[in-house]
Amino acid sequence: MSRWEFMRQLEELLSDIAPAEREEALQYYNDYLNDAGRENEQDVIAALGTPEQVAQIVKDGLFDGGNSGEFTEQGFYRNEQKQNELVKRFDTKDTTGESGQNHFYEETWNAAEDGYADSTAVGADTDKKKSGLPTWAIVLIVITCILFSPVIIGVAMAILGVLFSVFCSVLGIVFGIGITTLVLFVVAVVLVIGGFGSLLVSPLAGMGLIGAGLICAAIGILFMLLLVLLVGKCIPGICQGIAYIFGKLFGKKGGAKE
Amino acid sequence: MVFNTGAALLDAIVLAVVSREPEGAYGYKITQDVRQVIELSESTLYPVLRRLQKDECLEVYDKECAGRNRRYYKATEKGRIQLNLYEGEWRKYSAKINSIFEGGMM
Repeated sequence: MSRWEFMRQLEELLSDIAPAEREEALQYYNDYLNDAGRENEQDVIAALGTPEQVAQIVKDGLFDGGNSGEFTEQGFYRNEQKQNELVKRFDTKDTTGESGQNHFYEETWNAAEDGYADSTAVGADTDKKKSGLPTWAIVLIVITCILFSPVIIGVAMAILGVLFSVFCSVLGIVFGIGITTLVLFVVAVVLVIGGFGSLLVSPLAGMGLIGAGLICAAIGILFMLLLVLLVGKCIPGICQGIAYIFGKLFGKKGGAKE
Repeated sequence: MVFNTGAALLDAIVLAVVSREPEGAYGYKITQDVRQVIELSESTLYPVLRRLQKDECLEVYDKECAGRNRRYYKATEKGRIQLNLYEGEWRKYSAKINSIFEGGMM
C-alpha cells in the first residue's frame, strides 16, 4: 500500500471521532512516516499494521482510562471488550442517517484485504468527508431519549427492585441461620448446666442431658460454619455479580476501578 | 519477551525516555527508544502519548525541521513528578522480586 493510500484510508476510518482528535492522530502518523524516511516507507507502513488496526488503536485510546489493558509483543491487549462495544454502538447510530456510507467502508475494507486492488477506483467518487455526527442526528438522539424516558426509567426501576429483593432475601437467609445458631448454642448451654445440676440426683438423666447439650453445640457449630461460608463467599460473589452487570450496562462508569 | 508490560510501566518507560531529552523528543524517536528495551508494535505508542498529554504529563510543541513541522513531546513538571513516583515504586517492586529470586527468604 502506498503512503498516500494508507493516510487516506486512516482518515476515512477516523471520520467518526472528534475532528481535533482526528487531526492529532493523522499528524502523528504523518510525522512518523516522515521521520522514518522515504527509503523505509514500505517497511514502516507494514510494521504499523493495516489502517483498520491503526484506527482501532486510536479509537481504543480515546475511551481508555489507561488501566484496562496490557502491552505485549503482539500489541495492545484489552482485558475487557467494553470500549469496543461503545465504539460499535456509536457506529450503528451513525448508520441510521447515512446508510450508504457504511457500505462503502465495508467495500474498501474488503478491497484492502484482497491486496488493495480496486480501492482507488471505489474511493474516487466519494471524496466527501464526514465530520463527526451531524447536528440533526444529535438532536434526534436527544429527542428519542426524552420520548422514551418513561420506558427507560421504568426498566431501570424494575432492575433496581429485583436487585433489592435479591439483597433482602439473602439478608433474610443469613439472619435466619444466625438466629438458629444462637438458639442452638443457648439450648446447649442450658442443657449442659441442667445436666451437671441433676448429675448428683440421677446420674443417668444428667449424663443424657449433657450429651444432648453437646449434640446441640455440635449442630450449632455446623450452622456457624454455614453462616461463615455464606457471608464470606456468597455475598461478595453476589456483589461482584451485580457490579459486573452494572459494568456491562453502563460501560466504563460502573466498571473496574483500580 | 516472556513478561508483558502493564500500562503503568509503559507510561513510566515513555516518561523516562522523553525526559532524558531536555528539548523533548518526537514520536518516531520515542518509539524506537522504547523498542530498544521492550518489544512493542510500532503503532501502539500513539494512544499512550496522547493520554499522557491529556493528563498533562507531556506537552507538545511543533519545531521546524528540514522544511516541515515536526511535533515534539516534552515532559512537564507534573510528568517529572509522576516519573519520580514510578521510579520509586519500581525500585520497591523490583527489590522485592529480586529478594525472592535470589534470597529465597524475605
